[in-house]
Amino acid sequence: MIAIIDWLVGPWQWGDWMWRGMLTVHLVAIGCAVLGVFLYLRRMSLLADALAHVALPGIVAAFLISGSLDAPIMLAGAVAVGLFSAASIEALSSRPNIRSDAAIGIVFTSLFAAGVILLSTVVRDAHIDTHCLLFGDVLGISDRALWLVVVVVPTVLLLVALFYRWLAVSSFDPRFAAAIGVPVAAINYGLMTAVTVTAVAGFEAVGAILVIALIIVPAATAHLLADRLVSMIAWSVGHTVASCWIGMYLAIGLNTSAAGAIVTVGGVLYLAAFLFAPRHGRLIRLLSARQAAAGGESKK
Amino acid sequence: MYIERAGEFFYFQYDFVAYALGASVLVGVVCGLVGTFLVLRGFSLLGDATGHATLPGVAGAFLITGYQHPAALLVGALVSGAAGALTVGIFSRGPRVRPDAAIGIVLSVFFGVGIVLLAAIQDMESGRQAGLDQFLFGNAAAITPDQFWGLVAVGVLLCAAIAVFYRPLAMMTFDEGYAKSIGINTTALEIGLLAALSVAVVISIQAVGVILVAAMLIIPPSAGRFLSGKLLGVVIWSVTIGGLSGALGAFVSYVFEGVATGPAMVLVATFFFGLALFFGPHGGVAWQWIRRPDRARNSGGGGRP
Amino acid sequence: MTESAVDIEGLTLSYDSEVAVDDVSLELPVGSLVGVVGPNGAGKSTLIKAIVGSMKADRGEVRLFGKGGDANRHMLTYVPQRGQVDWDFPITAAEVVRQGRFRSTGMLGRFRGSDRKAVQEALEAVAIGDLVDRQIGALSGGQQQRVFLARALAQGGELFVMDEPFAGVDASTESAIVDVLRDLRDDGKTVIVVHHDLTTVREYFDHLVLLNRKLIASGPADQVFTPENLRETYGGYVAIVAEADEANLAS
Repeated sequence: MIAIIDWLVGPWQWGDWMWRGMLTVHLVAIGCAVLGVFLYLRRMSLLADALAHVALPGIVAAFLISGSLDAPIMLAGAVAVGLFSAASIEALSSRPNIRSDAAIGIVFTSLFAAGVILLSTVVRDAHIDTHCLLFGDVLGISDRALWLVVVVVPTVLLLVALFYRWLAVSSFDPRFAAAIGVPVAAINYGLMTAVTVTAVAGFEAVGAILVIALIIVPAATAHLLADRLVSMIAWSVGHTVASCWIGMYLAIGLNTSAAGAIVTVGGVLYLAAFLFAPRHGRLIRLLSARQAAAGGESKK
Repeated sequence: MYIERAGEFFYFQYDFVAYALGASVLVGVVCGLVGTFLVLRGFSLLGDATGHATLPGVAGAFLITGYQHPAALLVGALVSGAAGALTVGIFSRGPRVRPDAAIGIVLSVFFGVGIVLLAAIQDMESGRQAGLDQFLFGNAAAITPDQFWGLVAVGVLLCAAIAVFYRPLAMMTFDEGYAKSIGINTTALEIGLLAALSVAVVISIQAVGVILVAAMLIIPPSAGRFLSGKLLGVVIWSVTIGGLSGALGAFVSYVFEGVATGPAMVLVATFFFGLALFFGPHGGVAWQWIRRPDRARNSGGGGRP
Repeated sequence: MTESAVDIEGLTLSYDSEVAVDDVSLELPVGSLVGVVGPNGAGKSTLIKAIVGSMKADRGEVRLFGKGGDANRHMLTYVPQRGQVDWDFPITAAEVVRQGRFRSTGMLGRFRGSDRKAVQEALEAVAIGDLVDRQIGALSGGQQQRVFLARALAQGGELFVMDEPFAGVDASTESAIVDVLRDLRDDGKTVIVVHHDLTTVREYFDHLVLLNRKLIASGPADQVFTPENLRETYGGYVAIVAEADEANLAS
């Protein structure tokens, strides 16, 4: 018993990095989980994939133009390239022979490839750590990244709260929303901006690719469990907080990548919900269908 | 200096250049072929998920064998890539799931598992983990002759298989319901296509890397759609553009130091896509301008991406 | 009142390559129950989109209660085709109906007693009482349609536009919806309905718009619903329906 408590409490006494890591990863994960619900419901999950990838060329481009890696410039670059790619995806998929998923694939892989090439040639000397951008380092959060997250995520959450009604209506029924005067396109681009900003803030903690998991997986899990939007957001946040705690301790115990562990735990929780969610879980449905069949026969 | 290096490239002064070029072309051709069916069926990003999903297989194989055994790594990649593709299929069916989210879930979670395994490898004594890095972005120059001929053999088999099943595949791509009604086993065919996708991805990751393999599956066929209105035409254009992108990408990557093969191939393919988008006779932008210069357009079905 | 609720002049609408509605001009009187009828692909839904304002016209103009542009758009209440929303969305029937008040409450405004009353009355009018806390996907097609009608009622307005409200709906829902629409008309509202079923057209509507890319006819139902007009709208192949109705007319 004492050993378990020791194991739970211990890491907090080893130094700053534990609470810094925990704080950062929680804020990033909660921001992603809330935004993820709206992206998921709008069938824009894969846009998160694209936005997270194109933030890399965005940051590189911002550095090339300004020569600085200050947080606001970094965010501005990522948002500019993010919105540019969202607009190009929309323009491409309005052509009859390009589906929207193909458009996403074309735009983000091209931009990502350009970013990788710039990183390895023109800006080779800059202090951009590709590995860190891609995979993150939860336990080595810099002051800069910590501040970025502490400022960005609460701001984003506040905006979501303010715009909640419009976000909800335009996610559910965009035509109706437009008819009652909700600026649907502005809400759409606002949401994308929020996703990009949150993702970039989270890069140093969890990396570009794993941030996609933090956006999509909690919402997908919550959708299996919730019947109302408010409860879906609650489940999504609950899922992500649970993943963060379990993942962090696993990573410390097994001495492995914290971001990887958090995402892996999130995936396992999704699988559990997929199988066992009351009413919508696949195993539960299978069992109740069988029970119903058996019941029907016994009545005969 | 660049001219000098370009000269070296064309005279195949070094053997590895020839192998790198061959492997890149192979990737372009195989991905262009398989990608056509994926893009036309609306599964474009399945390749992205499969590509990312190979990472835990590569890392797992390394952990099990304890060193960088090429064949083992590729088998590992194949197993986990195929598992990823199948998982997308499972997670996309039924109520309360979204096919697009299923792709995102598989892509990111498999990658996360891969990162965990990579971290474990980093702790191992063998320290040859540096070799695994090249799977992320690809390094065609590191391909050995043995590997190259292995890849060619698999690639040829794959192309032959697709040629054999071309007719039912074409039918399913065009109209699944009708294909089923005339007795084509579409489920088996679908699984076959997923298997072909996994093989294509595995053939490609050494040259383009797991993150960008999706581009070679999506961009050449998408360009092909602007160049031909017939399936066979799209296939031929897609394979041609894929192969050309591979060759030019390998060239660019050799001439300019620090440019990895994968991103170079992708950008060349994007360039071709741009040309097709503007000048393609089937829905190309320029042609539309010429045909109907006056009418204000309403984009009808655009919708959200 | 002599003013018309909807006044369309020379309206042409097209998608990328195809003209969907060609040079249509018509007037719909205030306080009428209007049916828009025509074969598949005739441009019915496209015309509705232009009236609602979600589609820009190539040429021509739509005026609502005498004013063009968005000036009177707030007087219009739109009920889209069922099936255009996501039935898996985590939202209950009552929450959908509450959305009807969002235009008047705005983004942050509180729900007042009057808002709550409007929601309550709308729910009662469509008689879905005990289902209000169900997730919408758990409702039947007819119940879903009632929920969306209730949202429109809660929203209020002078002009109601409904796209195929009877598609995939059971008979009792259909008659319940028709009753609600008649009540609206009797209150002096104008109701426009895209409709498919020729056999009920004359019974339901007092004004008809027959459309097949071009306007075939627009006017009081008993004047416009003639075999010649129907034949022109549908081409030869619904001659049977038309003749059956001719027989109905005779009897």
